[in-house]
Amino acid sequence: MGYKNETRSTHGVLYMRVVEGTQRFGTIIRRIWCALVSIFSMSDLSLPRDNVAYNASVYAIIPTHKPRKITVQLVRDLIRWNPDVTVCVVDDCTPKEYEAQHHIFRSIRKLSPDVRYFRTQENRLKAGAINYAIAELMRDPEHLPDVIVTLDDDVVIDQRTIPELVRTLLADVRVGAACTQCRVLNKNKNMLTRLQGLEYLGFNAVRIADESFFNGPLVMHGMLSAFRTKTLIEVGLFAERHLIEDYEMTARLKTAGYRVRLSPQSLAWTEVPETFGQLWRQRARWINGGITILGVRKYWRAIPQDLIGHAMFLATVLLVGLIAFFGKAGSGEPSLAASIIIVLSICQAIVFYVFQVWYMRYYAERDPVDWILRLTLVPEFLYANVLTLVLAGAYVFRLFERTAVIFPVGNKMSRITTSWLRALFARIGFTSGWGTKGA
Amino acid sequence: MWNLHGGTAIGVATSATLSIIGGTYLHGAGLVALSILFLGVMFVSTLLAVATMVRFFRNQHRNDRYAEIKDARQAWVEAHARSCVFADTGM
Repeated sequence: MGYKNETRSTHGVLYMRVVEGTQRFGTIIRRIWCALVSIFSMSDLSLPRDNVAYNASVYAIIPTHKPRKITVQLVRDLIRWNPDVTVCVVDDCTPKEYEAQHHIFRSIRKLSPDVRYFRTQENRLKAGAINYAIAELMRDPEHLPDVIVTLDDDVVIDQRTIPELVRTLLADVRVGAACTQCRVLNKNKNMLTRLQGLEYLGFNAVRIADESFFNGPLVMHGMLSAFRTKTLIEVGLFAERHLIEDYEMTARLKTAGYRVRLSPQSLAWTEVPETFGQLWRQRARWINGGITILGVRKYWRAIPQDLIGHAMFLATVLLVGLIAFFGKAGSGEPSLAASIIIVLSICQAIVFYVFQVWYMRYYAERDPVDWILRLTLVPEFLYANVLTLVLAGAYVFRLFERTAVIFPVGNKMSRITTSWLRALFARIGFTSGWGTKGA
Repeated sequence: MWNLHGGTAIGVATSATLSIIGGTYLHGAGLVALSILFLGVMFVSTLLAVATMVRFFRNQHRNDRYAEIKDARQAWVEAHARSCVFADTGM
């Protein structure tokens, strides 16, 4: 009897394990299927179908430090085209001497008595300045705005920018934030700015493609985005002293279950770096900041695009390593497998080349030089590969930072070496603790 | 460019160059490892690239359609307002 019971229980356990295994297998297959469906699915969010006025109070917050005349123009345009929007200018501790010389804030105040002006007690950088303004608004909770629009101080807008953005945000209750399409204001300055113009065109295309893909585009850029005030307060406002607070905020919103989206008809123009040094530092901050967000496990579900991008890059690095390790020069004809790879690669390249050329139709500011740049491909190829060096530098920097934490400095020599290396990294744009706007 | 998960012509051109180098100068275990890795990378990148393009075309088409509807409605509202003005003034 005892044996029989034992055999039955063994069979029972085996049966249970088979059932559990089948269920687990089914779950895995279902998840893979859902992932496959979601990467091909289109946006299920609704867009505003008409131009009716929105019934919501909107505050536009412009944090600024040492503003230029373009900020005055921005405030003027905001007031002129959006009389229902309250403009808040946050002076992030601009030196008194600077204001005495340029009179920017005086010019802004002259524009309208309705412009609200705040001044931080110390330089808090962009995220801190926005938080400061929101904290001031929260002192009067009954009159909190429904929507907060955050803008860089060097943005140019048109008549439709803000209304379209706000309407897109409010068109769907699931959406927590919306951003504009980015255009380059100083595109014709030099070759570098032209290449950035083409790159921004690609950013917009990816944002359109990413509508509803794992809760929406990767970044609601800091240049010009709109947020529901309640949502911002719920997730805890902007992260201060973060390298890229806009990406961090987007990841946080998506992790909290909100969707984010691009407002396709809302356009904004910004000035991009005009020298290689400035561009390098900007991208070092973006990529380095992106890697810090990648290091936060809870954000992974919100940033699959970035995870895949880094995985692909590392796979390619591994590929190069394999070539270097196993490669034997002059071994002759490529094998069948290699030939297939080559053909597939070339096919992929052709498809994307055609797409890139076709997509130029959406580039309103294009001119013959842009066409030449795109058609010849070589300038963009070089540009993208130089920027890949920034990514490689960011990996080395993170590795250095991690090593410095794991092996704290002991003797004087290693202390000097560490501080020297840190200074070197800082010189080429890799640091852990700056903000969007320097003091 | 690596973070544009759909991939770009540039990224793929780089990959193609690498594969040509790898395919020409590799053999034996190295070629097998390279082939597996590269086919994996190719598969994932192609899948994501195609998916990104499909999503782009669908969403862009939808955005264009919404814009058309909006413009048509705006035109109707303006025409209606004009006709009302004409009616008021007896014209």
